[in-house]
Amino acid sequence: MATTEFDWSQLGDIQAGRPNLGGDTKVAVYRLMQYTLRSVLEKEFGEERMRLLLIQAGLKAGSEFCRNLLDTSLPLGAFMAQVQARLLELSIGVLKVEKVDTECMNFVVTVSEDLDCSGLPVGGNTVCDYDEGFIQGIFETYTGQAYEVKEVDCWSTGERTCRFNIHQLP
Amino acid sequence: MSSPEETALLNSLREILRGLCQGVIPNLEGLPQVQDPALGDLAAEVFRLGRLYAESHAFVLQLAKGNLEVEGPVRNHFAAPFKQLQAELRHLTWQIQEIAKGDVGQRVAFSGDFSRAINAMIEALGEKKQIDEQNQANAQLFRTIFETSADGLMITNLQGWVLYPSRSGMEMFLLDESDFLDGINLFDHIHPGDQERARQSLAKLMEGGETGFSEYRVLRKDGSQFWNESHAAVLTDVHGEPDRLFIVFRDITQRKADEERLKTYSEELERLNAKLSEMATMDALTGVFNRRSFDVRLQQEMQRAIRFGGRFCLVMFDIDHFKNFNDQYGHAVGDLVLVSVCGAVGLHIRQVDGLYRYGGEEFMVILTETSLDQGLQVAENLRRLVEELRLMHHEDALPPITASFGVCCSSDLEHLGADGLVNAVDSAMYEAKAAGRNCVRMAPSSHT
Repeated sequence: MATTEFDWSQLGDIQAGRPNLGGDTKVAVYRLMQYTLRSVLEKEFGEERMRLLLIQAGLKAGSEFCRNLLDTSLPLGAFMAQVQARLLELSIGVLKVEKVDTECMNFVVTVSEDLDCSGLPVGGNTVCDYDEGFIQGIFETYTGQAYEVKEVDCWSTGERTCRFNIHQLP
Repeated sequence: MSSPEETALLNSLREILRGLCQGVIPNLEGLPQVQDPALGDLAAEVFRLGRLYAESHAFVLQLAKGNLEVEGPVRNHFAAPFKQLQAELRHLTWQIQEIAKGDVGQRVAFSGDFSRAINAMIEALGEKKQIDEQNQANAQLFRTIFETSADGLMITNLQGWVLYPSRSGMEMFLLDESDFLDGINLFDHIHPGDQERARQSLAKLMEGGETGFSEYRVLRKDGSQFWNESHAAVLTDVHGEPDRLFIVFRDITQRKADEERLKTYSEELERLNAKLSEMATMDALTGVFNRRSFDVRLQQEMQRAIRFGGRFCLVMFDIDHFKNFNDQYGHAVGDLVLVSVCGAVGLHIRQVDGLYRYGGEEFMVILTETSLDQGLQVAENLRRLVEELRLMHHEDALPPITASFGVCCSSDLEHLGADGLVNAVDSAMYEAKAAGRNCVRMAPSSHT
């Protein structure tokens, strides 16, 4: 079966296509799609596989997001400020940098008012798998190095902000 | 009926809950086992509540001490808002570190007045950074100008003490770094003869006047002197008060020498031009105007007479028997006669008239605004003047000399041009020669 490689142009000309409704929609609509998809994937492939698939999709999205919407020539501090501004501008979430280890290039960031999870019922497990991949994609594209991103705090585990540990792989 | 264990547990739970209400961290050592499962479950929940509170409390205490690195408890609803606060504070810490490194693009969001205050501070830092960068660029430009300018540049205080000299300025004065240990006052290097003028110029500057470029004699460190052209401007402090002088100057010694040489050349050139002009218009022997000048003057007189209805007389005279005189006494004596006659005649005509050597021993006199009768009278006076000349040569008296005169008037010969007038006066003069010389004859009028 032939595979279709994602291309930024697949997002289409939203302005032309939605001259009256525009480019914005409700967060609930986004979540409806994500959590129904998540449910189907879990039923189809099991939880572990579902999480992996969402991370891979997020990774692809983060890479393309970085390539198309961010200036990767900026120094680290300015780049992080730029990521923060972009995520705010697109109402994805409030990204904040907690820790930066410039020697190892490891980071801890938090995302409040997260598009994926803020306000979800507390369920006991982290749910921001797509975000993990998304953040990984941004960092890998910016640095050219492999990264592992792990969500350690999530709204769905009872926290008020999602926290991600970002580690560069050796 | 409750068992003693259950009663003790109920008392313990009451103590825990009362303590929690009062902010007291409960002692949660060992959950007692009781028969009643409902009580057991309730006790377990109260103990869990106590532990969550205790964890949260310990976490908040660390935060309150400023320990942002403290690990927050997980799955603890009490601690969740404080972990969010911790995240905010950690992020602010990182942002401030980035700002300290110079990243003034950082902005703090969603923290109300705190965000506004921090963002205002960042913007102020950004503006300061821009000003600092501009100042650095200006300072670099300033240093470059001072290092590379061929003109000397100096900044002094108002008393003339040098604060900042350019490299070329130091070279002009033959100064080096060691000279500045005791200070250098610019006025000490101005020639004593020019110091007062320099001080007056400074006083004028301080009053807001313009001094333009000034030239002073300046003394180098070794005592040698050079000419200096300088321009000064007053620099002000942050309050707009004059506090320093900016002086630009250059060594114009060579230019001064060149100007002096040029002045000498110009004077010599003027003298030579005057000589050439004289040679072109004057007769070299007698010093009176030459034939060429006569032609020009005659044309001017004729045009003037026509334009303004005026008149003039032409007197022509020739020294009688000059050839014999020359042959007998030599050319030197002949020249003496010519010079003497010209000298005498020149002194006896008006300044507005003109005496011209027409050729050999022939001379012309142009008498402006003169009638024929007046012209005849002047000619007669001149004839007598020549006749009465007593010339000496090597202490020997020379024989008397005479001259024959012809006179014509432009108003009597209106139809004639310049050549016609010359011919007419020439004819009159030859009539005088024919009449026995040493007399005056007039040209016949065309009106008769």
